[in-house]
Amino acid sequence: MPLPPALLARLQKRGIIKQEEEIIAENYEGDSSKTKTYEENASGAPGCPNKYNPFHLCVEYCYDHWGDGMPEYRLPEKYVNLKNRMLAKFPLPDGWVEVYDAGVGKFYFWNKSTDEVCWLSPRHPRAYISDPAPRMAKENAASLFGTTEIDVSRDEDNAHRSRRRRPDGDRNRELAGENRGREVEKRERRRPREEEPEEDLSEMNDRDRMKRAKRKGIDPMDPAAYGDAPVGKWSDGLKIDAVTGVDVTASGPLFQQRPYPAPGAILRRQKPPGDDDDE
Amino acid sequence: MSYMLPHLENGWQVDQAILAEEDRVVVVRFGHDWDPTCMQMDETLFKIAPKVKNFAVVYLVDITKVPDFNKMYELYDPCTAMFFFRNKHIMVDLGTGNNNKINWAVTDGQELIDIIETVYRGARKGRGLVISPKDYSTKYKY
Repeated sequence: MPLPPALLARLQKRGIIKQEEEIIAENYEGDSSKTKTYEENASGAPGCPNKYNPFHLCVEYCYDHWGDGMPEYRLPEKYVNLKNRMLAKFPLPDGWVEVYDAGVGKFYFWNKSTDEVCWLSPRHPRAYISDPAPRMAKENAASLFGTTEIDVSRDEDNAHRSRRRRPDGDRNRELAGENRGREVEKRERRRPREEEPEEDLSEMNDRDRMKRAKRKGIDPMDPAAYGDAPVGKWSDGLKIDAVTGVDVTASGPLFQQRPYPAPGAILRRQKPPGDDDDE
Repeated sequence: MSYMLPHLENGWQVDQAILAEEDRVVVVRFGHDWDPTCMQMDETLFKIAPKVKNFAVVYLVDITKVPDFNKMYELYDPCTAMFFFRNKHIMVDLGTGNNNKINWAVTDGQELIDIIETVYRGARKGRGLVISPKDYSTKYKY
């Protein structure tokens, strides 16, 4: 009964489908792409290799394009051996489980209780334990756009996936040796910036800017959509609080017909609002 | 000649001086007594003060001692003369683009008398903007 995740989330919100049903598979592989699950293993696009990216939220494309990712049995033997050797050297502490991420094609380690993830065994000296990338992605998106248009269910899935990916990355490092690990790290660091939604406007071409405006719901005629102007109202550029006594917005012929207020009015205006003595 | 003309020492005095005049134009010169431009202007003002005493009164305000109006009146020129009638600011179209004030030193007494008289006549009729008898724009210089 695979339902599209968006529909699933909506049905869930209305209480038509219970949550338990959705948690079909603990494994994010396969079904998870189609079903929304809040389980650790459920994730947005199972095969999406960008899940470890804290700036990436899986969209329809991830599901369609990446499919189910790399099945576990197709992992190279060398990698599996390295992973096993690492696990033998640094056994997992209590509460940590090994999870396979089909998108990245690596194993990562997940702490069920704290919901932290790590690509390497947490005992490994170079282990970097962090929050799951999908959760970070969700928070990022929320802070950037307010609410994301992407479905909650999918976001959560993504979050899970990201978590997994992260751990996988760490593992990769461990397993494949320092150089490889560094490469992964570099990649991870670079990608988030590339995919970061708040790109530098000056580096975007017109088409990208209009796309961005559409994404953010900015009127295409608003200078903020195509130029460097910040998003705001028409009156935002005006200095409302006039320092001078005259109407600063008057221009042209009106400019010469703007009288100053009387001295008394100025003094009254300057008086702090508290002391309305005499008069 | 600034020592001969009455000075206003604070914002309240400025306010009261303008409020007190029922039927006379109040000419307020904002500036510094030590300023050369102001000295010229004060010279002219002092010269004409007795002649216009029936319809105008002249006061001097030191914009350092009385900074209350500097921002609101945009007083950043060395010498600024403004006209008030019945607690109302009277604008003068001098042809300079700034109708609010005379921000240079008028050296010809008669010109100043003419301007003050025009202000008085216009303000008496309820006008907030009067046309200066002489155009002070720089277009004739070029």
